Amino acid sequence: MTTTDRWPTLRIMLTGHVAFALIIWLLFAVVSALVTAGFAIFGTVTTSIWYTVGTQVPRWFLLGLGVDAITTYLRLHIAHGRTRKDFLRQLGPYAVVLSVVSGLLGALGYLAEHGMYSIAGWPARLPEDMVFGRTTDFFAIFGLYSLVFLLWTVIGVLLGAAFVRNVLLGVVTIPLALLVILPGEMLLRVNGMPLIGVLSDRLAPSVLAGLGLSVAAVVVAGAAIWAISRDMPMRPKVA
Amino acid sequence: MAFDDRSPIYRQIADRIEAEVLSGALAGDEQVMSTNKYAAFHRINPATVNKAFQQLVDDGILYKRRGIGMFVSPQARQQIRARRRKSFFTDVVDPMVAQATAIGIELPELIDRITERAKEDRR
Amino acid sequence: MTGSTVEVRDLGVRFGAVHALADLSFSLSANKICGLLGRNGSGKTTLLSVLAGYLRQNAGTATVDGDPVFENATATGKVCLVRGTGDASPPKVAVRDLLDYGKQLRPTWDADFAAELVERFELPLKCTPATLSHGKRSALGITIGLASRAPLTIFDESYLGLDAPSRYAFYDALLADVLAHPRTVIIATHLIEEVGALFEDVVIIDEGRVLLHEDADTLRAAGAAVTGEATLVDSFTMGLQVLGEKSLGRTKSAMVYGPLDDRRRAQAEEVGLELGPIALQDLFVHLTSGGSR
Repeated sequence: MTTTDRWPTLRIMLTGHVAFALIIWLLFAVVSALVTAGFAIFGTVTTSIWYTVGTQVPRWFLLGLGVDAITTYLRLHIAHGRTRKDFLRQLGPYAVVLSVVSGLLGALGYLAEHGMYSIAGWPARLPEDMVFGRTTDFFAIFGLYSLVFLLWTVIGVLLGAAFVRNVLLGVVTIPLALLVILPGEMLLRVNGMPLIGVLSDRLAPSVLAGLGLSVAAVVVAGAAIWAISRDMPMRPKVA
Repeated sequence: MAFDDRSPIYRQIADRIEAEVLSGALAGDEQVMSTNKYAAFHRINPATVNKAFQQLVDDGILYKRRGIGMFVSPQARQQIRARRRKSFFTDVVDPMVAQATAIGIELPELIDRITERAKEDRR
Repeated sequence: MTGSTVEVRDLGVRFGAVHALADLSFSLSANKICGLLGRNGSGKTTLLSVLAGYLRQNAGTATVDGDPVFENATATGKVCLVRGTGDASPPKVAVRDLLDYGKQLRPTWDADFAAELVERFELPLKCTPATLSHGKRSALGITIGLASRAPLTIFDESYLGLDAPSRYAFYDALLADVLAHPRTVIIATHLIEEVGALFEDVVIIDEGRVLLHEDADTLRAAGAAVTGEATLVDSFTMGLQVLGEKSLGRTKSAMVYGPLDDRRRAQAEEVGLELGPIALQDLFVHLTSGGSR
């Protein structure tokens, strides 16, 4: 092994998770197409279906991948003689790459949908007052979604680490996790979640403020992850 | 697992090799298995085997030929027999007599039996 | 690359109010195969977890080649701990990939040796640990431990589930490999009689402390079973450390710890007492807490 190889765990996590993400997004695309077809046959298509299927649900998968990263892969990493510091160093880039790939797929989904709708002559209206006005605002969507997915991946890691450490700690961390995703959800103007929806309507920050808060959220979450994981004990797994 | 866990294994190894020398299975100037092979074959720690072989070298039963291996000393068999002869009476005969007495066998009975066996063997 | 040395001083580990380890000290020199014996709950697994950097101690030091272990890549990179729980075998990842991870994450990994072991233990490369039998999962763990070529390789009861022929295959593979590529090995086991001959050193740990650390053969000579008429046995064993006794009628058998010199042996013979050896296994049972008396 060369001494310049400083990212073996990053590669391992990405190989597993990006492949999984690709499959999941494909699944969502299929579901979205089926739902659209359903609407088209039994009613009329008035809004973007991808907005619901391609955004609301995948976030939870990214949370799950974040949990998997800190539980399964940290253990593997330590079992092969490496340190938690080293893992966390590689975890950052992992979260970014995973989020960016997911953001790309999300944005591509909108483009594909737009293409389909154009051909069928349906309006691709977005259900809410979103930061981006049209489904073809590719870069805006890409950027925003990547950010939102990053926040959800990060809280996955945070919650995973907290719960593994101590169930009580895990429960206490849930409010923190909600605060972390809040900026992204506010930017997305999402109503999918009860509390967040109310807050995002009330607060409605500007794009710049939202971005700033998101960055702050990532930093805060990162610090919490570091504090929890830096001396995390590896107790024997219950087989 | 040919060796038991109830006494020092290096002693058991040394005894076993001595037995093979005594019985003629190992002849003078014959090479013995290397310590590594012996350890692997019997599933024993090589350090234990080394100790046994070293003991045998110290006792003059084996000798080392640099770069080649361990060999049985030409006088090993004689040596072992002489040593065993010496301790035979204290280690075997005396306890036997004590045991015989304990169960009520008289010495003349013992002697008769030994003489009989000697006659049979000669035939 | 040769084996590592281990130095543990006054190690303490607490889980809440429970002291799993307290003032535990021992040192292990390089390239030895050391047997670690201890009852369930004696602190064996906790000690080994600290040595591998899985757990941070609350007190004391643990070093590998002089480097403190916890979160120190110089030290942890030299250690491979195999426990039955498959820390290096995430359940949904194929065996082939798991071995590749070993190659990517461990500089000392030998992929050819891993391939050999896969054949020897008949591990299905495409299967995942979740679909393997208990025995095959153990074999996988052992394969990872052996192929790691870590200068300190630790097997914590890692062959549970392996049938006897596979266990012997493990002993053979281990022995052959340490002869060709020396490393320090610690084996924690309950199968003392079966594995005992592999040990050079024996460490017995009991209630979070080291009870003894001795050369294996010296330990085998350290005990004696004294059998004979009860009163004679009692007077003989006066002043000696008696580990346990059994009586049947007027005959008593006492297990004594501490070598008996020639004078004592002659004394025993004189009064008609029988002296016999004690197996390592029995010595262990009687030296540790809760041994039947």
